[in-house]
Amino acid sequence: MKRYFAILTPTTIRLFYAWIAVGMLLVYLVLPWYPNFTLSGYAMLYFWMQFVVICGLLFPLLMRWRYCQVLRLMPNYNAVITTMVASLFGLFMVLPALLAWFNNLNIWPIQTFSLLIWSVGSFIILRRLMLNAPSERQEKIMSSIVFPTFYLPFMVSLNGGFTSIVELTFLASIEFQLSVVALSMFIWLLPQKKYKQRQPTRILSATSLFFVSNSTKLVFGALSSQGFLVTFCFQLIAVLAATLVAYYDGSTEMFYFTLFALLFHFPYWLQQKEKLSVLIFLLNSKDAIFGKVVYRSFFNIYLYFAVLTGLCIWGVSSIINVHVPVSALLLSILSTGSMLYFLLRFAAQQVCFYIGIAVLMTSLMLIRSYMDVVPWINAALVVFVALTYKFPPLHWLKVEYGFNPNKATM
Amino acid sequence: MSMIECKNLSNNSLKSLDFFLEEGRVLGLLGKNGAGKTTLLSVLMGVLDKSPYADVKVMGHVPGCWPEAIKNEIGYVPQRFWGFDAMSIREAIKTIKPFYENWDDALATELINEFDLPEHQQIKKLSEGQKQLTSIVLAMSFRPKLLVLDEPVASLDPLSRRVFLEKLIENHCDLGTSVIFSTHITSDLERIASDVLILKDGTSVISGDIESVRESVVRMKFNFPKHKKLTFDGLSVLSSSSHGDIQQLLVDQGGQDVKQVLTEKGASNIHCEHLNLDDLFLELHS
Repeated sequence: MKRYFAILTPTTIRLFYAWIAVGMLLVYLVLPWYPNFTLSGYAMLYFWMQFVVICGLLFPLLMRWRYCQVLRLMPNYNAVITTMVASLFGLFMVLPALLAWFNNLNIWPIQTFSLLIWSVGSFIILRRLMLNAPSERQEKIMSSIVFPTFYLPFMVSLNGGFTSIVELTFLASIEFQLSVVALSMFIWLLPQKKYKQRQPTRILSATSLFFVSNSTKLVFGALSSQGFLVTFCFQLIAVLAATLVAYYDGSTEMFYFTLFALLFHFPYWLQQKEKLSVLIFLLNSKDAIFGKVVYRSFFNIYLYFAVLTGLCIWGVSSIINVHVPVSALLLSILSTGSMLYFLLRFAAQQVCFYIGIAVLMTSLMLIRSYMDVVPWINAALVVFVALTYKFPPLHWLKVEYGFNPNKATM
Repeated sequence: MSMIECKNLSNNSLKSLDFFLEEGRVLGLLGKNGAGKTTLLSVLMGVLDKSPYADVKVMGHVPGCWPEAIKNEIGYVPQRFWGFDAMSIREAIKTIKPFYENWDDALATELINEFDLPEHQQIKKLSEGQKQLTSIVLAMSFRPKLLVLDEPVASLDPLSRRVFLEKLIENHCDLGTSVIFSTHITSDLERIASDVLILKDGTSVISGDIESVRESVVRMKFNFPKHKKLTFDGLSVLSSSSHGDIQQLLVDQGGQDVKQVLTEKGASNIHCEHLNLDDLFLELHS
């Protein structure tokens, strides 16, 4: 059994959670625009499970299986992967289909299509695995054919005028499997763009909007690359869209989760790209500003960002007359703060553990009867945030970059 | 028992290659870039492609078709190590460990410490040399019976190289592990290898016990009259050159009295010189 857990690498687990965020975004931003579509909390949980399993576990596993020569020589590795993939496939693809059939729900065309996609994906993966000298062109052609076709049944099923929630749950879950599988393949095949660091002075003037310390300005300046601004704008637009959707649907529940999805994504993105460039920039600069200053600057930036977003949400919701509770805003801001703290301070596994708890709590809140846990989560997050400020993550700096706080020039 | 049997191995890069690796022996592969070393090791590890190499047997089985128990006994350090980039060294160990019955935690920790590796650093953030060392740690820590190393020291600094060789000798060579490794550094090869296989354009030009090769392969310098034609019949000549009436041959003596043969052909002033592997390699490729 140890082997099954061993193959869940940090990347796998990170993707697992990243896909939760993406899944939520899709479910709450795309689906509600279709007429006759209704959502239940249980249906959402089911969607999530599927996203997470397929995109977070299955794809990373297959990718590693494909790529790594060392793994291919590992005893029983192939058997473990095959069993795991088959089990996940059975549990999240075949079982729902059987349940649907037993309940006289006609979903066979979509299941067939789904199986087809799986076969194509598996073929590509296995082929590359075996040859070890892949033809990128062939795969890109394949994925460019597969990628658009997943929209077809998606559109058909959602415009078909179905009324049964159960039926829609199954249909939509399978549709999402397809879309996400295809999307994963597409993303996976795209060439990775190298991050280009911008001159911090270029957009440094933007910080004059805020009353901030010089050190924060420096970090913020470095953060204010094009990528950061794009993400920032995207997030604002998405939040505004979510608010509109909430207005359309009349459900504040949906709003909570859209917000969560977006805010989940932000620290992850920040960690992967910006954090590194900012620190490298700072560590290489002549005016060395290290340790607590760097960390607190990050934290300040986050707070500015969160407060600004919160104000926007509040403003827009007032205009369109949607009630957004202050506790919801606070919860989102604090949870992202704690997330950022975890990312900076702890190892990947710990981060995933805490994100796991957050996701679990979120899931519980989704089912309305557990809404009374919200104040407790808020309280816990306040404690975390306070601790964050009190004990900056110097350990992280040391481990990841060999930074020694004792030698830092404050 | 032969750990590796390779008969008449041919593909795009290799031509009719024959060699054996006996249990407990250490075979060093030498050759210029593009000579076929990596191709050979990839074929042996079954990672090149699925072409059938029926006459190649590694631990008694066709490469890539090993029973799971046999995989437990094979350690491989590829030229480019990847697949674990997002993990730290410790996390990579945690991933691999449950799959190997003989995993030795103490040895893994010892190697990490000896190589001075940052065990909590993500592998993708390590230098090429550190990645190479990580790959070595992962391959050596389950104490395989056969260790296949594709240019393991290519990116290492002299100190790390030295530590690696010491650990290889201490933990594997001295305990009867069979090792096959490719390298460009002949001094390393002379230090640990018992056998040598020199590849040139995909073919084996010299193979055998390293001491025997040193004894057997010699450089002969002699004068030979310009008006006479020098023929090599009866001699195993690996390379030849001439400057005026001075001739130079690289000859595998193979138990023959080469001096006598050359004298009979009309050579005079004959000098016989034994070469180290470095000179031998240069001579072969000059």
